[in-house]
Amino acid sequence: MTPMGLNSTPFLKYRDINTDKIDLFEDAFGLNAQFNDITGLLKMVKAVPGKSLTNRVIRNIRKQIH
Amino acid sequence: MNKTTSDYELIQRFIKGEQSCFDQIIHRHKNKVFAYISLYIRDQALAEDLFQDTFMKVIQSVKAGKYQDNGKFISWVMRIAHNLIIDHFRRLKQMNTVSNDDYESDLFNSKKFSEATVEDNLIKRQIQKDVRKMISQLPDDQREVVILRHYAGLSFKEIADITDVSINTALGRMRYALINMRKLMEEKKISLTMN
Repeated sequence: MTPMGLNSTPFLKYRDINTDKIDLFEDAFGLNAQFNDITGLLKMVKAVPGKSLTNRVIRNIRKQIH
Repeated sequence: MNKTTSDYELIQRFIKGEQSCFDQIIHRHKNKVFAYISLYIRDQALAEDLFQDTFMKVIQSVKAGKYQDNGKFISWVMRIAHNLIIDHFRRLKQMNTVSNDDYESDLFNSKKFSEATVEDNLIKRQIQKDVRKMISQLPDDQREVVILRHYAGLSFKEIADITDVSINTALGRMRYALINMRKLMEEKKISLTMN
């Protein structure tokens, strides 16, 4: 017979909760929970600099340094 | 140089003469900086100029010893970008030549969906275009918070610091922005459903 308590779910400690990638203010404000439809749409858009632009910036910065 | 090298360490090595360290800094942060500037400015040519100016200014400030490490290098860079944008609009205002044209450049590189059909891609492009339009229709202060949070990946604390408002104000602006975007979404009947 298993003693009592051995099969129970262990308690989660505060330090076990990973909040590294969570903005606690945003979370507390409930923005993600209330507007996940909009934030989902926002994720569909991506603005990234082209390779040529990045290389141009690096080239110009090197010129400025020398 | 590995990916875990901190920004501060890279800067220190750059100051000592390792040029490649600044290249790495640019590669590390270019997407966030460009997303912020290009989504805010909308004029691609100007956005590209400001993107370059931001890193030039970063170099000058770093060399002048103006950067104090507090582990928030990207916030500091964003503040420089923010100030350059403000300066640009100030100059425009002084010249009284604020452009009202509806210039729209194709700044958004769509995510690649290898399995997607042509039709799916067309729908996705349309949604991206609509979302871009929705963002551009927001008031400046709301648009800025949305871009800084969702495309530059800054925390509300950092956004509040950069835009010189309280965290509550930044959160409030975001709430209004999202409410406005939902209204626009309902008006335009945009949805994530693709069928």
